[in-house]
Amino acid sequence: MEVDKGKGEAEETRKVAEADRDTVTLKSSDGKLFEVSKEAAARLSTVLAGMIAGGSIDDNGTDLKQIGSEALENVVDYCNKHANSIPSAALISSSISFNTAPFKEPEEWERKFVDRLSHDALFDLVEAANFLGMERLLDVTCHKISEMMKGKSPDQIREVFNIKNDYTKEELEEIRQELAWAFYDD
Amino acid sequence: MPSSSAHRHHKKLRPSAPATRDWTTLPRDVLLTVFLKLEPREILRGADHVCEAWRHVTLREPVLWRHIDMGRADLSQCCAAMRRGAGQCESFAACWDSNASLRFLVKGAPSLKSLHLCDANTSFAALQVPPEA
Repeated sequence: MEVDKGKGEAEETRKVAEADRDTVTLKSSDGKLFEVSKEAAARLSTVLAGMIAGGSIDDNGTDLKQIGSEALENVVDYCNKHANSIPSAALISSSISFNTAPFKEPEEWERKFVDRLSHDALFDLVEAANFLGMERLLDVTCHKISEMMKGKSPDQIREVFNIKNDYTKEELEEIRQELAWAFYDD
Repeated sequence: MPSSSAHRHHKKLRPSAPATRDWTTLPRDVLLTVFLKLEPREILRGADHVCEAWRHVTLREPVLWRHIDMGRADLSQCCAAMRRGAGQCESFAACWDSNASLRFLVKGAPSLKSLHLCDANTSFAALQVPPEA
């Protein structure tokens, strides 16, 4: 790759070309390239919006070292296919905070979008959405995760997420005590 | 490949491997977003006891306990939820059969704006707020 070679004219030409394009190229941790609508990326991801505005988008593929190709494909898919119906990430995050966030239920296509994912893919996608500041995608993936916990006991939840019980018997007893204890704690 | 990504290598790039992700390592903000979509009583019954990392979030985020609907959960659970709210609880609803004191509401939820209780046996006298000091 010609990473440091094109610092001169070629670099300038490339930057101009990049500014004119209506897509940006993103590169996953394992080196795969994905094209995403620039407008959608900027609208749905605060991080990509910042990179686009700051000119740190690379025509050869902007490195996203935190995100594997499967997750990035899902991110790009989400942006490209469904961008039109989703409000701007910047708009959402500036107007609400966690506790007051009026969560809009996932739409039908959003449900389907996350329902088809394996647990691993869901995990990677929620991390990617978080990393890229994609408020709505984060909300939709977190909604899916919360549904996987609903109505389940701690043991059942551990089973769903393949989590080892890291509590000792003593600690579990302590947790139980907390609830009993609360009764007298006024 | 830069060395900074080396530590992540074990859990990436394996699309067809069996479940390998460690859900206890989800970022705190993500867990908080997930838990905010659960009823407080749901958290107490499940996620809270799953592992240390998750419990760390449920114990330290009063925002999770602002709007509490405990359903028929017992008083000890109501108190636990209230205490985690660290005085920030704004609405509380519950239904229980005891004749127990509701003093914990007065002391534990100074910002309470909405209260919904449904049980004829409940001691509403206990709700009398003491005169301002």
